[in-house]
Amino acid sequence: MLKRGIKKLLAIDKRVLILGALIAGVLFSFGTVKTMAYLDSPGFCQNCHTMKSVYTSFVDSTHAELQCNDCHLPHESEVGKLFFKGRAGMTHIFYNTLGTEDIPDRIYATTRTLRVINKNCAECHKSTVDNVSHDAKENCMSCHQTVPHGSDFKDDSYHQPPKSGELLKNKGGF
Amino acid sequence: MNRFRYGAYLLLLVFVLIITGCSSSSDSAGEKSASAKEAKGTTGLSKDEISNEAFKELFPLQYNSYMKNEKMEDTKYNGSVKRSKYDPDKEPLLPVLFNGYGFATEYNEDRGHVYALEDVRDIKRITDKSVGSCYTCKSTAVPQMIEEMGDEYWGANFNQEIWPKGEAMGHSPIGCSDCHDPETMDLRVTRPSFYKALEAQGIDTSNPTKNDMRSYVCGQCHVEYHFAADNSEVTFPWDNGFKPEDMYEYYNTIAKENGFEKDWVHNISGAPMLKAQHPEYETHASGTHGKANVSCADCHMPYERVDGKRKITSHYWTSPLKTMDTSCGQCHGDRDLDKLKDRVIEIQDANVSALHEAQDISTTAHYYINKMITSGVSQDKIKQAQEFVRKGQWFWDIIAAENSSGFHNPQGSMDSLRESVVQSNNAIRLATEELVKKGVSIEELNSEIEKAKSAVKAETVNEKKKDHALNSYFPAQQPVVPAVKK
Repeated sequence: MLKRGIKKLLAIDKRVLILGALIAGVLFSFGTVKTMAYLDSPGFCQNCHTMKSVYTSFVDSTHAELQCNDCHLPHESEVGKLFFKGRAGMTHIFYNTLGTEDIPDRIYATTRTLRVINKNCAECHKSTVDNVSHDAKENCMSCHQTVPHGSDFKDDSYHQPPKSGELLKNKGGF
Repeated sequence: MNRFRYGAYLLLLVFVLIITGCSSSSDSAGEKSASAKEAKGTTGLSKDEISNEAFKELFPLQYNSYMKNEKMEDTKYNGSVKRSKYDPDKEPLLPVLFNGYGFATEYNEDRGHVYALEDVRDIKRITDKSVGSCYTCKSTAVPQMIEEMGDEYWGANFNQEIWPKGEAMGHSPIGCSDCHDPETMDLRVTRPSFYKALEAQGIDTSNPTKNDMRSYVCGQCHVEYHFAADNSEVTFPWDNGFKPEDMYEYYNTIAKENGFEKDWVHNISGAPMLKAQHPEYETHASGTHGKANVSCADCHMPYERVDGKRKITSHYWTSPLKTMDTSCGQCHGDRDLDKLKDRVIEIQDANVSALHEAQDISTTAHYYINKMITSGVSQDKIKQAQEFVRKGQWFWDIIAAENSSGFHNPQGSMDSLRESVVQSNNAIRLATEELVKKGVSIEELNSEIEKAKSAVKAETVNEKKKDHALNSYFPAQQPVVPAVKK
């Protein structure tokens, strides 16, 4: 079956074949790049319940224009990024399917992720780090703990009269 | 070919897992059946629904969280295990300090909301004379009863009228409808005394914020109160403010003008006494966290991840020491939680040891006044000393009755205990001066006091402890027929 397929393919005009391959190649790489970008985006991450609250706080933050993985993945090399993404993705799939009972109340960044995030902060905020001494603590988040997910606890709405029905809307949860 | 097929199966498996993972228990039957009604913004429940179980199917996650209140677990000083406050490691002098009042017969550590009805039914302080007001913060039937009976509710007989009526209505222990409108689930205040008291202090209650409501729903019960003299209505002493001194001032002025002078006459000192009740709301409001606008729910109802994925507001009301990660860490995320816990315990250690000291001095003061009475000291001096002992006891009791061992307002609580010691010592000094004039041996008096205290502590049956507080040296001072309570 495979052999017959190859024979048939080779029978096609070579020029058509090259053109076809070219178009297929462009479409494929375009698709891959787009898919990979989507997999880095907030829109994709918030598909899981566990990410709803960090998503809400993130879209209200000054960093809202960025992608989740601009901060959460290493960017030194494409291979390193993909490897990290693959490893993290596998654990996420596990916890969101078979391991839901083991998700803790509060999710902390792992040491590995913390290191990556720290590097990414410094990468964008290079001039700040260069101009102002930043050696008081080890991690950016040790001081800047509310960046960018800190505002989800109590926003301005808490200091307004409550909206009728808001507790019913999400069943009081995320 | 085979390899391709395996790949396809694997892919299929991943999809199946994702789909099942995304649609487990949280989206179960109950939720779907309600979705049509939800679209209209209501639950479909009657506005008069008072059964906790009626909410179970619609809100299984919150209901299960609420049912965690069944758990009984102690922290160092507080917790939810039903045990006597007279225990040696708690407040062993209480049978002396509340002598002549129900609180010297039975006084227990409080359990979770789910036990409210069971515990009020069992407690020996409820007698055939008890009134409806005692039921006010135990049952979901109360708002409707007040609506039906009006002000008759407060003074109606607990055993004869109120309890059977509640049972017939299908009452639940403090639950959903006490804080939520059953139709919209909006937060609401259902106990009228709360807004009345806030308004008396000049606080506008017409448009509370979401943040306010997260404390108000708790504040309608977790407060100091007394039963009004005319109709036994649950009344909060808040006209002058939330601090112990503000409330004491209220009791010595406004309450007296309205005919309420005392909760009972002390059996040892004969003083007209006040009994303080769980002022969590007031204490917190004057404390560090309250001043910073932190609400009750922020620490006592942190989020919890209930079915693995979703976060809901916890309905398990207990010590945040059990949920420090989500209760404290939400704001104090930059702190080591173990160190924070040590700090909380340090505050409680200081407060509880000061409380024990204040109670000890207060006990001594009651006995000194007993001796004044039996030694024939002038009525004028006895009255003065009785006012000191009444005041001294108020300032420690308002802290002892508060369920945070000082944490809700560390400085304010210590300040109150300091005032307590000052007042009790005033009583002791005045008594000493008078007793010395009468030639009473202070040494003998002190040793008799120690004997009585030891006898109370040595008695193992809680109900009998109070009997050892009195003896031939310290005869009872309560009128034989006690003043009819309100």
